[in-house]
Amino acid sequence: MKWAIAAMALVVVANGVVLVSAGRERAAPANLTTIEVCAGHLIGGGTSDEAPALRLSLAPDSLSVPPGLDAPGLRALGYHEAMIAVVGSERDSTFHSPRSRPAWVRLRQRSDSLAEFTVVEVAPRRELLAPDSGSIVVRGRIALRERWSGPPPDAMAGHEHAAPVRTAGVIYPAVTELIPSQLHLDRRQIATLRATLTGTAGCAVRRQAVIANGRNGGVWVESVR
Amino acid sequence: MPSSDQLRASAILAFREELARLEAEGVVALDPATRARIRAHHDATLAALAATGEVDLTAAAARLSTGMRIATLLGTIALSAAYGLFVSSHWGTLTLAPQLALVALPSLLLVALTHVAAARERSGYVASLLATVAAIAFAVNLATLGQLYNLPDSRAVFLAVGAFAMLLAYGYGLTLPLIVGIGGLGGWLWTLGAIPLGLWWRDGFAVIEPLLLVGLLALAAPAWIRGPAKFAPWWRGMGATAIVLGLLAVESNGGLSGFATTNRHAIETGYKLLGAVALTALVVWGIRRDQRVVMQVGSAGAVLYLFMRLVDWFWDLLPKWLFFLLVGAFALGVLLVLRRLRRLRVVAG
Repeated sequence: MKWAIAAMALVVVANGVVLVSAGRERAAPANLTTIEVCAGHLIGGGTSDEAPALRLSLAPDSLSVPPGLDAPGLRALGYHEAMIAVVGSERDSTFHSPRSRPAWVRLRQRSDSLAEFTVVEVAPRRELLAPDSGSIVVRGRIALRERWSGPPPDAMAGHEHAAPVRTAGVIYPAVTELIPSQLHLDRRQIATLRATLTGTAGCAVRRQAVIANGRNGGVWVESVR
Repeated sequence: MPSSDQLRASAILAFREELARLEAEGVVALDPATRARIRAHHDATLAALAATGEVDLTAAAARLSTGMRIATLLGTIALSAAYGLFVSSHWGTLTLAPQLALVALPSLLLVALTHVAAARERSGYVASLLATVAAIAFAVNLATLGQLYNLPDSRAVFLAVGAFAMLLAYGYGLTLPLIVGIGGLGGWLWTLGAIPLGLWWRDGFAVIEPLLLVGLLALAAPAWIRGPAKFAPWWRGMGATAIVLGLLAVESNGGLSGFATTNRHAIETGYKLLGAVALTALVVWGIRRDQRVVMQVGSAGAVLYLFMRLVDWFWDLLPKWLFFLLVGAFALGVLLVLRRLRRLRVVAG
């Protein structure tokens, strides 16, 4: 019986730790940010099998490098000097992309037609990103990518089986993943959003959601309107 | 893998068959009193073993046991799928409290049912099924909590689920939860390698050195963890598998090493040498210690390793037909060596 009790205690403690810490975090949000929500940002709800959530869609990488992804920033994230040195230059055959690094990322929503998020600042620690009512802060993974200067060349006509020719691209740092990549919506929130946005195309119709950041790095949808 | 009780029962049955054969051939003739004493002792031993419900005393019973094991596995998969699909199909219609109850209560309930099943059904098949589904339900519980509260995914889930499965495995002597437990704790230890490298925990799975250490720990575990004797082959088998897979992966892709920032070619060469030594050592250790599963996993790894070396060295040099002829000749060579080793073992025995 003692083994069964120990296993049950483990379940209770694990659930308790998550619920108590999340409850404390949500009792006093550190920062509130209002964002626009479109139909394309929603996941699940209604008859879907997927859990209802609000997707944090990252805009395609821009040519400008946000603060924190420059050479000192990459050094702070733990990249080796040899890797930092190749950023901005063309990839050569000996280059192997290093493993991605975790970081804290400040996101700001763009005011264009897709209302996607863009990375405006990156830091190795959350405390280095000051609270800002126009942005949200989440974790992310940083990687060194290769930017193509043009579309990859097609196979020559009549040579469909020829080995693909690869042209070297420029190495640049980018945020490859947001953690979490989507925010949970409760039953009431998804119902409110779906009622207005279902059946609309792109961002023709928009609602607003208030995203909260907690003092310990938590992030959640506080309300929708 | 047969339990120690099953091995004892099989030995008694084999002894009876062989004794009858020897008596029929006139090699030996036990006096009736001695034969009766041995028979009575064996009958009592078999009755005691049968009372545990874990031994097969006939070939038909052994076949039924195999069927029960397959049914246990299929039942575990089906019940886990049913639970997962039930949760996902009702999730969107529930408020927070029922959502939490739906994911937290099943694992608690299944632990209680495991306890009842272990007490009432001595073979352990039902308890094993329930305990494994409980571990999976606990994993779903933690993953869902993370989703509800937008928590970053964490290696702690591996630790919690591994510890939970181990409690049920050692508490009730259940093999299937043991496998989940070794996988969970091993996965957690493996990802710890991401910490000194400054990586996100998930990227720890792309670093092989911690996996090799986990494999060594699992190989050594039966020596310092007390538990049912039937657990030892599983620890050793999973440890040997981790080492073999880790070595085969890193010797062909140096980028999987934690030292990959240095010369990858040198890393691959180093691991090729280490692989040759380590895989041979696994096979020798398995033979000397009479640990069949270690020997089998080590042999499979060594054959794969040698095949990969043959591809490295000869694929581009030789015509394809000659390459496969060489592989065939090599396989014959391995067979001859193993046959010679077996003869030496028989003579030494």
